[in-house]
Amino acid sequence: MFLRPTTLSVLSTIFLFASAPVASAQAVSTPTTSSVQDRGKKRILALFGDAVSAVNDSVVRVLADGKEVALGTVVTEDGNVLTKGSDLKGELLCVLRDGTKHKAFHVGYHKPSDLALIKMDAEHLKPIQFLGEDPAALGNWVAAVGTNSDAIAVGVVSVKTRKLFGDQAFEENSNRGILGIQQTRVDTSEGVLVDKFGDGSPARKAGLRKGDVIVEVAGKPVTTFDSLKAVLENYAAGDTVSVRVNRENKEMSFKVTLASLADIDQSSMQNVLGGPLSGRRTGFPSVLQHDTVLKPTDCGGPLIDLDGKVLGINIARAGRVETWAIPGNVVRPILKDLLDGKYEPRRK
Amino acid sequence: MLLSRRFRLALVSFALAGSLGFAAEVRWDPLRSSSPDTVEELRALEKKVKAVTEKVMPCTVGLLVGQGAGSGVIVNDSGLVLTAAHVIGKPGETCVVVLSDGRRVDGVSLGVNGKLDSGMVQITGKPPEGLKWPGVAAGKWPVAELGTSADLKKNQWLISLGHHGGPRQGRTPPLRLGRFDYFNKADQSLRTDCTLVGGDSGGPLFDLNGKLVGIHSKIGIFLEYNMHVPIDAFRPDWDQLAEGAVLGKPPVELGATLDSKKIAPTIIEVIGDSPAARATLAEGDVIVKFAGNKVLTRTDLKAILMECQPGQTVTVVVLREDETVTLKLTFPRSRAKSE
Repeated sequence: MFLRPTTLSVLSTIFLFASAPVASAQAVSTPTTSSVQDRGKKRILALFGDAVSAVNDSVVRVLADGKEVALGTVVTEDGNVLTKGSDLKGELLCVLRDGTKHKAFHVGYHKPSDLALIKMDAEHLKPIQFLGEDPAALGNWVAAVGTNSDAIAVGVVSVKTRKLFGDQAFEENSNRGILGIQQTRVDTSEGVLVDKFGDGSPARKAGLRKGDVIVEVAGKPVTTFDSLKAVLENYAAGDTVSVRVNRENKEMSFKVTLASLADIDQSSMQNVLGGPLSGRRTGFPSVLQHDTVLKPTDCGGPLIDLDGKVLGINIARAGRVETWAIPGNVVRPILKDLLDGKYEPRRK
Repeated sequence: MLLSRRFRLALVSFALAGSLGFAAEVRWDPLRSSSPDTVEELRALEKKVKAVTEKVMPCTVGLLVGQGAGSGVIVNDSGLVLTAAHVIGKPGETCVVVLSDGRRVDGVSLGVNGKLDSGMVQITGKPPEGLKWPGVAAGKWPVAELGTSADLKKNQWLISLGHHGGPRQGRTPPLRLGRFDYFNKADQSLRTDCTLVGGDSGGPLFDLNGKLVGIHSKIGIFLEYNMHVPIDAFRPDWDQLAEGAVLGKPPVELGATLDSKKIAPTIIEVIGDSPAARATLAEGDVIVKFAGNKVLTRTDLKAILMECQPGQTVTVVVLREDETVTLKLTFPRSRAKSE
């Protein structure tokens, strides 16, 4: 007879069964992000003080066109900085711990690891030393270091360094906007045949029909499903793009407001409960998983242990419960190649 | 003279003990519910967490049931697994049990308690060769020791394991460290800040003595809202669950099937002559309010149905093609046998 409206309505909960990635129709709630730092670990930040102070002079805040996009890790005395590459666009500026600002330019980009080398105009810096071996044991305390005297977050190593398999092995922008059409085996020479819509498909809502052949998205010609995906890499959910289709030998144009995977896929939606995720969060050569809670813009800085040893570079907030770092022994050879000029800067 | 020699002796032995590290070692009390105060204590906690994780890793499993994936934990050496009810759904479902090293054996679901979200699975396969725990040669499984969830203290340190996102090649079930917050009497769940996400369901929550105190069940919108079935709640049902009983059914039935692929309760079928049919609920309706309670998820609706009684009339608000429709729904006095 009795309902308990207080508990039931306030505490909306979700069962944690991971269903197959099947598209579903609606976004059910607008997830509120939690700004509350993990209550249990807060006091531990202070105990990491000595370890952090050994490293934080080597961390910079990276701004692109005036916007905070990542942290950077100083790797040479004369201003070379490693950072997360996929969010670098436009004019780069590095802000040191003491508040000094230096313009920076893009030197090279290693796409698999998403590590970019940028060079700022500064001298007598304190470069970071990466460990040669992989020392991070399961359960070790770790801290993500920023430019403050306290770590950004602390946690433990959740999984030892591992290679990625399956869908996690492919590089893509997971936050890109989607049209909600499914890839089919049918090939056309002119464009992408619309054969199947996902549930809640923004393309269908905008008026596209089965049998339409998409020839142009956002002014760029598309010929294959992959080329269509490549165009959408540059757009986020909520952006509106024009889509030109060929329908029974007539060209038609539609305006489609893109959705995000989290709008239509249950497991994607659960993962963004608790904070936004990094756009590029797959395809890395190998990762060290820990349970600290980072903002996507706090990636690019060092991950340290209680001794202040640098275990790696944080590269992605990969899910509600996981952050990934590229281990130091994997970073080292990539860094050498970047410093040797083996990689071009990222293409816009 | 004698005295000073004794004094000297004492000094020597103290120095010896110090250099060997006897006197200096800081231990972490597994039941301690405060933060470490020194770096040494933080290291002692780290050491404890690592030892417990290593010990409980082999008994933590992934479960593949139909199209979905959850987690579980082995609790006896003949392969009985505790999990969450919503992972297995109902008794007699065949499933695949994924060991922490990625190897797979067969299993079958036993009983469920839908109200508590508790469930059991029996491993039917044999332990694969080359595994290292004691008794493995005799076909025995590694076992999690059961603790007592009623003894948990606020802020006590806990570790959580589970295959979030489903078991993944090359990945052991990820460890998360957190603390106990409180026991929620209303839905009989434990709340911790050990973060969980889809696929963790059914996975184990351990105290730092390595004892099983809970099974992962659900999350709220904040990172601190992670809910677990208390291990104590399994005990009264234990024998019935092991025999494959279905417990904790809601006292009423809606008479409609919800789309299991959607988070929001979305009707995909209305059963003829059911409370849902009489209330004119229809395929495609999304239930947004039920009996005065806001509903965002299927889990919310299920919890509300648990509290409804036969004979009760409730207001149901649904979203029907972008329009809000309010309906009256009456549950029959005795439980309908129509399903």
